[in-house]
Amino acid sequence: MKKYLYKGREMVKMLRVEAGEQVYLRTESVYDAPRQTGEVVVKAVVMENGFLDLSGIIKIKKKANLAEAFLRQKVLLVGKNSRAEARPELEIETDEVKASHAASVGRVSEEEIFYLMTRGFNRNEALDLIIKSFLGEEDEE
Amino acid sequence: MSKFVAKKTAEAREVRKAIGEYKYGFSMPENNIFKAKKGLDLERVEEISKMKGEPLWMKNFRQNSYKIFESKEMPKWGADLSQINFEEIFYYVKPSEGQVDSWDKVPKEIKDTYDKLGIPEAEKEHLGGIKAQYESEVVYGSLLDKLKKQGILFLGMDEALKEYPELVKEYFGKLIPPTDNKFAALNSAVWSGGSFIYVPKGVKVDLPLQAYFRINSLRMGQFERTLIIVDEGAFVHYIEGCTSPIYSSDSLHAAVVEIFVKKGARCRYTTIQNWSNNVYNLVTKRAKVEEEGIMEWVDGNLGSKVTMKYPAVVLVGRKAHGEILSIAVASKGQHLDAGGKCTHLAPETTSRIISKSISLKGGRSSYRGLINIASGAKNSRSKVVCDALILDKQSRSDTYPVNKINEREVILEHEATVSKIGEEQLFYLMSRGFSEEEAEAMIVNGFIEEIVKELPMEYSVELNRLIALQMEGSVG
Repeated sequence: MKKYLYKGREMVKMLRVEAGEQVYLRTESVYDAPRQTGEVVVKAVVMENGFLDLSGIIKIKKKANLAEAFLRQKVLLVGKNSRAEARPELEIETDEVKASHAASVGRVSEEEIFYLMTRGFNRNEALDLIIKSFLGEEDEE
Repeated sequence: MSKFVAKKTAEAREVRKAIGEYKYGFSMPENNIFKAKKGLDLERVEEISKMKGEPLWMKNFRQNSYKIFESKEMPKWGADLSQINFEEIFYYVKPSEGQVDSWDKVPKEIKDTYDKLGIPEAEKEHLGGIKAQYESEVVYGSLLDKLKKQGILFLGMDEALKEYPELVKEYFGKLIPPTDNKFAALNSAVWSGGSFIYVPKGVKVDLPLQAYFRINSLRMGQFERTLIIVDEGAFVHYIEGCTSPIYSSDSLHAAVVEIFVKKGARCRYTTIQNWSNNVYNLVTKRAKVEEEGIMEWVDGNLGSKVTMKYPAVVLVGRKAHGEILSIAVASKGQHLDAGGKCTHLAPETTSRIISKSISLKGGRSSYRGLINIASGAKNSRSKVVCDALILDKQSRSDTYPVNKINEREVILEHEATVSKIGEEQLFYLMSRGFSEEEAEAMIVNGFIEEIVKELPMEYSVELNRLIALQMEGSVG
């Protein structure tokens, strides 16, 4: 299993878990001083028989008042038998903070594929485009 | 406008006056029929079984469970359980001769307790049936004639084992076997009391059934066991409430609740847990939901020293739905580790978890949850929302969700936020004439509204009061 560990408060990670691959990715964001802000975004697609174990934690320590922290994990299960585990965690030890996380796991919608196919792409090309745009976008909001 | 404010303010004052402190902290003199020696060994387990005159299979089940309890390690995750001393706990206390169906026949100390808790009153007005458990045994039980005629069974677990041994044997321990975890094994070994409910096909119970659990004596261990079977197309709402006296040494409450929701049936299980702050509350709750069935856990945790409780739904039939609404309010000296688990084993199953937690005065609340979507559970959906409020610097809030997705054709969403009460929100309310404390209480009430509105009326009032009490003097 491939393993990645990233530490930091500002990160954008894009990942493609290839067919048959197993990947573990963890992000750790520690807030330990006042007024720190940060945002971590992890986006991944998982191909056939691939497995992604995605873990991420935001820790806000006692001294880190006025912290603003965000973690987003987005996973697209593309291939057959692709699997994922998403564990976004928060540990907050003080009160004047804003901390949130969001995780989603889903698949490519048939509608998106259909739309592209009506525009002349074949199924594989359409899927490829969707994956590329999913990983390519920095952040949709 | 000003009239309204004055009224609200007076109301708030009244509420605060009425509540005082933890009002269930009183204890009654012990007048037990039998109290087992403290501590636990195989003999003690056999003694419980013998006293109850149980069939052989149950005795074996207990013995076997005790061995499993011995061999299992304490959980290494979650709250700190290292202070539990299993040798100092009283595992079986029989408070009266047996279950009766009239409050007049209940021993005086016990009746006084329930009177103070307002149970007989509630029974008259809002409930279809009630079980009152005091220490290890159910001391009082009733069920409306109308419900009896519909074939609904609402019995103490011990009573059910005597009267419907086959039905009990078919389901008992099938959803939560003793091997599930150390405290499920402990419960399986020494269980006593709890409720048994069977709702026949197509019968919808319109008034809730309630059980009320009370620990009275020092270092008491309460291990009730509840089994609910909701047959095809039926509906039942079951409510449980729990309180205990304040002692300086700790008590243990380790319950097991198994629920079977058949095809097209629906079960709602509401808990208002308000143990005093010396109780370890370690409970295993699980429901199995068949095709198009619905299971709803409404779980309010206010009391206890430590709670570890994650109501679970296992969705085994197509289009089954599970819902977990959880509130935790952790104040001084409390660690409430609560949450929920949803396992999707069939296509088109859906689940939703909404968790609201409030940490104050140095309390710690944690959300711990699991969404597990198995391969083949196509077109399943799950949504988890956990919101946490931290009211002061000493308090702590954690979120530990696990989402396991083994099927491509699903939608899973998880969101969590942690924040304190916004200055702007406070300022707005204060500019309208509320004191800071009142404003804060209003915001907290708004925060949990989504879940409180799901409670029966008298409970939502009670819950709001309890939270107002917990928050008293929290503005610093």
